[in-house]
Amino acid sequence: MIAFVLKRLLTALLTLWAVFTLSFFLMRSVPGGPFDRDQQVSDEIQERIAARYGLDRPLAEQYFGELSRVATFDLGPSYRLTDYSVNQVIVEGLPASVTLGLLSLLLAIALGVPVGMWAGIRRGRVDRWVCRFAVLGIATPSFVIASLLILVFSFWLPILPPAGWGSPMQLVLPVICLAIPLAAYLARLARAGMLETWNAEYIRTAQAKGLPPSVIVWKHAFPAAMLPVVSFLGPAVAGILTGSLVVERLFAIPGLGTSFVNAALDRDYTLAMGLVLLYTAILLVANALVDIAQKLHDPRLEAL
Amino acid sequence: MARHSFGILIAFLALLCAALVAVAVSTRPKADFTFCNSADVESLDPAKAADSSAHRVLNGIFEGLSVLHPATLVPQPGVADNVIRDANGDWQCLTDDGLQCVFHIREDARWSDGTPVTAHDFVYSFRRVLDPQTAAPYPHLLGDYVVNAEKYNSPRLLESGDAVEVELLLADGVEDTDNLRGELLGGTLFDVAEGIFAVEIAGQLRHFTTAPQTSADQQETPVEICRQVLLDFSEVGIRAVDDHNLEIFLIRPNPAFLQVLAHVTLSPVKQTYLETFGNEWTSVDHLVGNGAYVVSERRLRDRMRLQKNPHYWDRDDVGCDVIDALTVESPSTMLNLYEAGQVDWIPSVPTALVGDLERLRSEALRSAPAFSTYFYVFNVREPPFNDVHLRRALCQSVNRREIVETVLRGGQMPASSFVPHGIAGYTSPVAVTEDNASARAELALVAADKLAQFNSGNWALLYNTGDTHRAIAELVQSQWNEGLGVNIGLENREFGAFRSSVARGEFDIARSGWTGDVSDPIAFLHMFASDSPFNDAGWSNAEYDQLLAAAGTEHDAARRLEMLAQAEQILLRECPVLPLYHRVSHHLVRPEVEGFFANASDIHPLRWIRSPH
Repeated sequence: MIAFVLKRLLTALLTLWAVFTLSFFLMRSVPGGPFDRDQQVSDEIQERIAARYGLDRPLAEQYFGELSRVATFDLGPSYRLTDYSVNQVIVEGLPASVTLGLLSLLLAIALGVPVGMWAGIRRGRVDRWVCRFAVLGIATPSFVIASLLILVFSFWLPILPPAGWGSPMQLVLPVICLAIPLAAYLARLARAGMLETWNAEYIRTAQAKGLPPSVIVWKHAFPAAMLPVVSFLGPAVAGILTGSLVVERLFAIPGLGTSFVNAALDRDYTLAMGLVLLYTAILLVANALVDIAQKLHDPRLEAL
Repeated sequence: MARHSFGILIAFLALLCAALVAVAVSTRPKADFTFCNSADVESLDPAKAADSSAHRVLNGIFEGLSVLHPATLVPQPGVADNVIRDANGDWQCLTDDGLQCVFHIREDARWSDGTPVTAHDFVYSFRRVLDPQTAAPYPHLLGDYVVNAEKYNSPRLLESGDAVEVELLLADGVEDTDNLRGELLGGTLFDVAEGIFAVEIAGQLRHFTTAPQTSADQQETPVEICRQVLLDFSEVGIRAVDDHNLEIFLIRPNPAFLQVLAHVTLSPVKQTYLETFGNEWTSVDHLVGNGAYVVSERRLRDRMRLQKNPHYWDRDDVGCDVIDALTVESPSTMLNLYEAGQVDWIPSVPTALVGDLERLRSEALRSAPAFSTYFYVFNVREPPFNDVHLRRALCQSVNRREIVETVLRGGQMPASSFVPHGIAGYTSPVAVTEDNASARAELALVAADKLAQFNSGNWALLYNTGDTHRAIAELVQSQWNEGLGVNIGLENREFGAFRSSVARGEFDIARSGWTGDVSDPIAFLHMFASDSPFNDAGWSNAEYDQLLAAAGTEHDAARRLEMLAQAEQILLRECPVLPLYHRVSHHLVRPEVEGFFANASDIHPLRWIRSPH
């Protein structure tokens, strides 16, 4: 286990370094810079601002300077949000993104998994309808879902606020909005898992023994049927944090999604880099956790 | 174990969520006035703020020498209590020749920590705006008006014989972000060559450079490394006579300067706080202003909460106790919040809905033509667009009304000139003609070789990615095609890439836009002076430059505007630009809110706003 953790850690560091290097050069190879504004500032002043942040230095010098700074967990000042350092932006934005993401994930699991299992067991008409809804849920863009939810719950039945952050009521719509596509996807995975498991011989044995259906489903079928769901949760955690951009924007949520896209568009090199590294780290951690969970969950998997 | 791991994972996630919700959800009382402030404020440092979100809150947190009345845009007393007209209509703060301003700093002006605001604070803040190390975006607000301010800001303008100040490197341990200066040496500039300044200091000639990489050892004389060499600040026409009197010397008489002084950039900042807290001075804990409000809470991408400043000189006349500025970027979300009754003011509305809002929310919709022009610029450096007839033909075959009515539909005004309307005493000269017959006649006048080149080449209209820009470009493209039978392609690039192509002159026709910072034609016309950094067209006209220069030294206001009108006439005749429309700003404001005015400069000082809540 220790060897596994060490190996994982080393790979993670290498991955982070590769991501850093790639992002560093990709960002700087794109035309434009962080201080481009709409025509109101002369080139001379732009050069001064660039010099202030050391962006007039040779690229290699910038690269090693930034690498050594990032290695000490100092992600530098944001070039656009000049009152903030990247670390501060993350500290302020991450809790909102994580709250939104995890609540949606929980809701998606609570909705998607039982429905998928039900479809996998019952088959027939139930299955067809669940599949139809799942496809619809996956295919509908979140801004459409968001607009519909706002229309219904904020204007027709004015019971929920249309946007904002700070009260539990303001969480409801964005969480539902973010959970729907994920629940649909999870339902399909759970259904597929259940479908496969339900045909396995040990289930038939359990049925032949005359065990009550609930025991068969929860004790025998459930652990095996959940394997695809569990392995999907790693990327899903990372995805739900990065993929909440549209939802964050529409509901004016102070998370990191908007920062991420704005940073890329504004060429806010340090902020974009910081968030890329953060997301990479989250993905790596989530995947590692899933590997461990799977190992605990499924004794068939060999030593990690 | 196996069976439970999934459940344990879920339980863990649920606990984490509960904890986070508890952290995220806060209970704060509702503000008296809440508005959507589009994007996040990039900087609360008035010298550095360049975005409109920052300006919306900074005008509440800081106050300059003058303030503009939001209804009339006429300068009013701010920190200086003598920015008023006397019985003859003359400004009290200006001397008879109009070249010297003496501002009296009101006795009761206070910082939000209770200490008095003095003339020295303004000298410090103005010098800071001009210091190249500050890298302020708008130093020209002083540079264009105040004696020697531009020279102080641009060391490349220094000449032999100038009194200079050499700023030595920062002391060890002092960082660039600490708002501290290096030690200053006063001297006389002997000469500048290859980045090396020869300065006579106390009878001794010493050499300084700011660039450590220049091969200092190759020189015969030793070269010292310094932070910068600037004009001696005592040469700049800004001086504190005493704590309450500030003298400013202007290059030429220009009452528009009183308007400029109201700009957020020229707000005073408190030296001791900047020097104690360095870059952290704009954080909520350390920010000290002199305006009607102070920042009590700031959360990125969420809100900034402002509270009435108990030390503000006019505190009894401040309209609200608490104001919330919400960060909301999407205009649709803003509208949703307004319609749901959660906010009192939204500074923009979805353009597609302007017509509906005019009908359904006429009591709340406030619109004003902005001091702003949307236009295309031709790259006149190279053929075929260096041919004036070709430019004129393209310019005349555009139907601006159609653009405004079918694409924009937000009440924008078709542009018949480059300078927007609404400047007192100024009428733009000739209207841009829109006529396909005369456009075709102009096309016939294009030199044969250029016409052949034009017809055979692939020319493109370049714009930065955006739905509206694209829709306008497509319409103009089809109008050119129908009116003149010419084919011009479209090319869009993301803003950064777009700007760098245009700045390098790598384009045929490009989208552009300009918003004037003072309501004076020069704010627009200066853009196309030969030496202007914003002259993307690469256009140069000696007569035009001469008129602008002559207008700059003209004392008679009417005569000056006449010269500027002549200059605009040349610009419109030579067509390096193709004006399309003037922007109109739209706000939704609850009808019961008082003190909100839509105006051409799109400024809405928070201290005037009164909310019935």
